[in-house]
Amino acid sequence: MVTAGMTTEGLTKHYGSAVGVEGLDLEVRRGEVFGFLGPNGAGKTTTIRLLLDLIRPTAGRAEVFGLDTRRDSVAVRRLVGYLPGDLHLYDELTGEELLGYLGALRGGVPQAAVTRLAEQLDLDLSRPVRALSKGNRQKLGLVQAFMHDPEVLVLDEPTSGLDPLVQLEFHAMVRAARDRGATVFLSSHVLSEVQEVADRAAFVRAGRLVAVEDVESLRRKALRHVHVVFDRPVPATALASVPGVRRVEVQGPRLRCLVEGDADAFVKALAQHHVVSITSEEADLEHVFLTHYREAGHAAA
Amino acid sequence: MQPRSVATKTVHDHGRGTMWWALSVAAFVAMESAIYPSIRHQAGFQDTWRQLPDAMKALFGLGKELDFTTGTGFLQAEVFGFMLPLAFIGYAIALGGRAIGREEDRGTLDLLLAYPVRRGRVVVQKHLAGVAMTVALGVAVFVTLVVADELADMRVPVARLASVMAGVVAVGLCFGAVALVVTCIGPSRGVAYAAASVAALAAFLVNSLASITSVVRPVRPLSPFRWALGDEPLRTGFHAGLLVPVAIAAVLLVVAAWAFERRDIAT
Repeated sequence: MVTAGMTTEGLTKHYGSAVGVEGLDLEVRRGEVFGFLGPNGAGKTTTIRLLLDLIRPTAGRAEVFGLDTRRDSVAVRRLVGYLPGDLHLYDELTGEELLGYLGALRGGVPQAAVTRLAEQLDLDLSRPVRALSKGNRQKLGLVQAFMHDPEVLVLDEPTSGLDPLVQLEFHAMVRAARDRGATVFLSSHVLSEVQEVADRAAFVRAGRLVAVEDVESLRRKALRHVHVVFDRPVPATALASVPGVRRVEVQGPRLRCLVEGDADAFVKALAQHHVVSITSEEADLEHVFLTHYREAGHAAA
Repeated sequence: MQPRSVATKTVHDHGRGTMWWALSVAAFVAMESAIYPSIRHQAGFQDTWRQLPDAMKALFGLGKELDFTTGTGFLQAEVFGFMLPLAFIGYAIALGGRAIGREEDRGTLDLLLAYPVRRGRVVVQKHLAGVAMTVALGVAVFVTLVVADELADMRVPVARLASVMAGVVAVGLCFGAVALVVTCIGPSRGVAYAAASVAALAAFLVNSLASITSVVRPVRPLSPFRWALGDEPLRTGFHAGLLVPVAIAAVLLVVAAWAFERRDIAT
């Protein structure tokens, strides 16, 4: 039997009377990219820090590749490349010195891997960390997480602070890691990002697991705010009946609505009219929760 | 310099600061020593000293029968009674409090401890690097003293200078370990500095005042000062009691490593 990539059983962390996570049961398969979705404060970082043994569970346990995260913590951390959600680096070192130091803590990392990643992310390693922008520090954080070709990547909000082009590069890095067989656990509060790279995703809210979905059902659950301007007033009824379109509001030639999942029917319906402009924005995760998991969400809150 | 281990990283972080400490303390010792030739023949200075209340002498860490006109008495009064222990304790507390406390405050501890390193080993490596730097600081000051001793003609045997410096380093290490252990029990660098400073002050006063009041005499053996410097190593040379504060420091280090393995890391 192939052991699982990562499992948690009833994983619970309380901070005094506050709940970090409560009774979390997760199973991440080996070799998959697993998204961990939830609004800020849902317990994503708490879960990740439990996996790395930085904090200790109030109850429950977790395993990575069959290794207990408490008892075999050093062995777990040898397998894992980790990007902290709140990344702090040694400001006084240059990028090169920092990666040299961190590499040495792993018993040495091939220089070629470091150079390749730095080039891929267009990162200058000769500059002191203190002189780097937020985005460049985040790149340095990614390099240290990926540099030893880890079997497991644990990435906490990896794209925060990265500009869109670098985000694309990051997605390529994640896919490459999966292609060589790595297991990736990636937290995010942005649904579209997880859709982009993950095979499956878990939704957490208020410290509890709400649902685990595959990428197809994630796509169906995507919500977008769409704002369309036509060249003349359009009747609301023309679009309200289109599948996946909700909450249509029309004011003269302007239309606002929510589009859920596949946008094809909506776009074809729009094409019946003269569209002057169209903007679309991803709805935040809280909105997705309220739309799809109202019941579960309330149970958790 | 490229740090390649937790220990060398610690030296990398504090090497420059340690150099400044060494230069400052050495400059202090050199300036004090430069005064000696001009006061050794001034009987009036000694008379004034004799008239001071014993309590005041004790507060400066000095015995009742101190003779300023000898090199030994002068160094005891001006350098070893108060200032040098203060400097070493301050340095060691700063290092002890920073070893884990600073990384936790800066948030770099999360990254470090996500690497395959045992927490206890991190504590031990960081602290032993700090111990090594404290000893190096001691050696630097000792060398300065040997040279000053010669130049100012203080006629203190080198072995006596070595034994009193060992005592000063030992008390420093002891209270540095107090600061370390507090930061390893919980994320609280400020508490660590305060606790270690208060402990050092209390230990100093207990040892000093025991010579003039019987009230604190029973607790004097609890003071690391009593063991490291209480037998006046500057006059009498090495004493095995020196090992007491070193042993306390070692026990505290073990406790620190043990406690740090068991707690949550703050974000």
